[in-house]
Amino acid sequence: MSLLETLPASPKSEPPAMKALREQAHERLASEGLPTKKTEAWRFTSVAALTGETLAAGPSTLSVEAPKGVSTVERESLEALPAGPFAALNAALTDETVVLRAEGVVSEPLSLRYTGADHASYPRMRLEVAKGAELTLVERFEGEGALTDAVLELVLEDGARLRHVRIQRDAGRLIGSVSVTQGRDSHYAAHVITLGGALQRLDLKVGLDAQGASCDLRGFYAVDGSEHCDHHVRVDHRAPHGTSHQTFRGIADGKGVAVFDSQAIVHRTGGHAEAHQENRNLLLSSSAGVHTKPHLEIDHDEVVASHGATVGALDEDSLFYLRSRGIPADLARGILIHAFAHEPLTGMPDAFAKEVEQGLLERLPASEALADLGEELA
Amino acid sequence: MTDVANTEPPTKEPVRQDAALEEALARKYEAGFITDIEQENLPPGLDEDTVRFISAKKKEPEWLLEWRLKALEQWRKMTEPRWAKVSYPEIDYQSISYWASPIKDEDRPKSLDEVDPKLLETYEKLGIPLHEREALAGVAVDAVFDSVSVHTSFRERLAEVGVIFCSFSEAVQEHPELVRKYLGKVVPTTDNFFAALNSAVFSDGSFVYIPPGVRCPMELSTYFRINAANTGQFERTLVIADKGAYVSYLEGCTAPQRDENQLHAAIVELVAHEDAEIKYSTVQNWYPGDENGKGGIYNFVTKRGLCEGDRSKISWTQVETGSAVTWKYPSCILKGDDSVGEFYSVALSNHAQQADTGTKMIHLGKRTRSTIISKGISAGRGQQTYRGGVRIGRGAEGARNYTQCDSLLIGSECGAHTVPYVEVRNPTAQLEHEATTSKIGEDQLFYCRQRGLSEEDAVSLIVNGFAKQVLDELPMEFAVEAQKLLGVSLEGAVG
Repeated sequence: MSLLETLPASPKSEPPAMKALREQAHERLASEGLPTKKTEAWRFTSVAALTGETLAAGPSTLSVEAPKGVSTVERESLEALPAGPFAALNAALTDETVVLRAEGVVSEPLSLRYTGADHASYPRMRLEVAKGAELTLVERFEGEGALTDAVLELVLEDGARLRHVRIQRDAGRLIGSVSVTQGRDSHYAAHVITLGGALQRLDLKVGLDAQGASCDLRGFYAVDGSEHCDHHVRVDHRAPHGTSHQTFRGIADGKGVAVFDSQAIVHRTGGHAEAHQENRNLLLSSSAGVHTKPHLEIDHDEVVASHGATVGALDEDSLFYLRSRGIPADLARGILIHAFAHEPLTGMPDAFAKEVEQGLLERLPASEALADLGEELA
Repeated sequence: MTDVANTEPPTKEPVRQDAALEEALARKYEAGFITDIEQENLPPGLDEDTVRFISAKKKEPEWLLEWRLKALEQWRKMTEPRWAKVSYPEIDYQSISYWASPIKDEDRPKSLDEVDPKLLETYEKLGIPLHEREALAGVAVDAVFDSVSVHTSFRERLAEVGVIFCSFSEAVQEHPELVRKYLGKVVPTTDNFFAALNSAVFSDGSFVYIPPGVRCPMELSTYFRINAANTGQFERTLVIADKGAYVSYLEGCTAPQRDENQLHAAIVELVAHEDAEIKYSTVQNWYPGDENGKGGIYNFVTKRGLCEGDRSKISWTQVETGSAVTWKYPSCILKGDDSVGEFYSVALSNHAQQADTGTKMIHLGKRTRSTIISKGISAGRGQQTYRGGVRIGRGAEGARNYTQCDSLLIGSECGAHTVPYVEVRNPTAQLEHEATTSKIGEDQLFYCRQRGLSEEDAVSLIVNGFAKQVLDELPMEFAVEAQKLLGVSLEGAVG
């Protein structure tokens, strides 16, 4: 029996709003099903392997460590169903919904940890950052998971500041959806780090919905072996004076495939916007592949927008320079890749930067020598 | 937000600026007029009989009829593509007449003197160098009026060096082996909906063959026009440059003002053999419709070049200012090693015009290189999309691509969109893509004003600079017209 035919009915005790959401999700899945390669947003990422499996939800894989200032909220209604087939699948199958609210300036980070399991899981999170509040959110996805279909909603009220660190390490099959709603003069900074994993897909949507909202999205991804990662980023400038920056870098080695698709949309209501996109890729093997599509849709003339994308190999001249200084080929490559990966990590809190650095080093050529070199320099 | 964008311009200036803008935006289409001459039309509708009629009319060999019928069969199985960022009402393909000829076959003129004077007058108005002007301009013009070629000039001079430049129907009669060898080689009938439609019902077009080692002694040019109401024009152009040959081909078009939408689905195929070079330039100024887009041309074109041989080169240059809807992606398949593809484009959409245009560079051979320079200008309620693809195949060692697409916005109701697709499968390839979208630079304007230039001169200077990179690529004969076209639609409009 196919996955979609086994959708369970919603539990009896559920609040009506959640019930409605679930029904909506059932309807969408029944009419649209799971995406195929003919679906534009899934052209390069195949989920055909999932359709044959029974992906019923197992026990929870999510653990939450909430610092002082972040509290759980009992809530009757949830936001509308986000776009996308896997957000619908999540809504149809989820049995854990966590709603949190941060007030004031929270100094300790809020930590969410998802561990992989041999069953599927559908965690659903909503985090509200109150007016003027400040918070760091760190999400970690670890361990081979059969399927983690995680939906995260972030709501930034007026003047709120949220730093979001998301580390996806060897997380098996992970399909995530993050949607951000921003209030007036709020700021959202994201660091999305994807290091390996059989299938990693992230849909990150940011809505600059009120005047003066800004976001700074940085990301780094690395694939090797037969790994596949796919980042879909979308920023909607719906209100005036919005600013968005997207800086993503990635490396593809082995038979790995990296997909990057980003949209910056300046709506008619989003004048005086500034939107920048940058995507740089290193292609390190002849069997690897990179597909990038940074696109701009601009419906207003008061705008400064740009995008840039590059794909290439390591610079021969730089390699030669390092070799001529007596550095072995492997280490020279490692140094250059390490330098390339550095940009998206800037601005990341030190504790996490170290963790990411460690994960990154493990994937580089001559990693030990490189680590020693790092220590020497420090 | 930068300070510059926040700064309100002085209150006095915008009034004058807006007036100039309004005036320029409201400018009427200058090339709009209708020529009243006898037409021989087929009633609207499309089926096997239509195809047989067209084929019989043109006395085509059996294999070509079969080819057309196969294309029709394909077309019926296909659905109209709707992925482009353009919207237009449903097209009823059965309400279009697929054949119109301005003159009866038996009355075909033997020389220019026999040509309908009204027709000549039409060309006169458009400034086409056909009669005395042909020698002066040094341009060979194969003017297509609706569906039948009226006159081809400079044939003898070209024949001396062995260049074949004739209408497509003549080529079918006189060089069937060449036509059969190359027709559909680059754009197969199954390629897309509009290509299949064109393949089934194409009426005429131009055919160019440059023999090995020959540098074509002049720029070749076709001016074609759409004239009869309700008549779709289905052009088919085939340009072949044999080993070491060079040709520069110019294509320009204007259309008379009409109140009904006219469909245009052309195909251009280019084949460049070893060391050959083809330069294909287009100035497109079809009727864009009125302020609401009513009556404009629907332009669905498939253009593709194949760099078949090593070290071959294909260069596309286009200035697109017309049509209500443009759907056009001149592409290059870089098959030969060290082959080069280029795409230079200026596209302007004003009023309710919509343009979804770009290019596709497919790198297959080693050390293939491509350059894409696209400049989009949106004014009024115009919608402009750059949609480009760069694909590097596994075997394309050392391939190189540089893409730059810039958009300029004039007015708060227009839109400019950039959708690049980059797919790389070879690690030795190097790709760069950059794009910017903005309204005209306030600081640039300020700098020019500060140096004593008037607002209008400053704007004109900046806009010309914006498009210069592309205009420079145009052959001399076209550069003047292109600048005039841009000038009419644009210069006063920016501010």
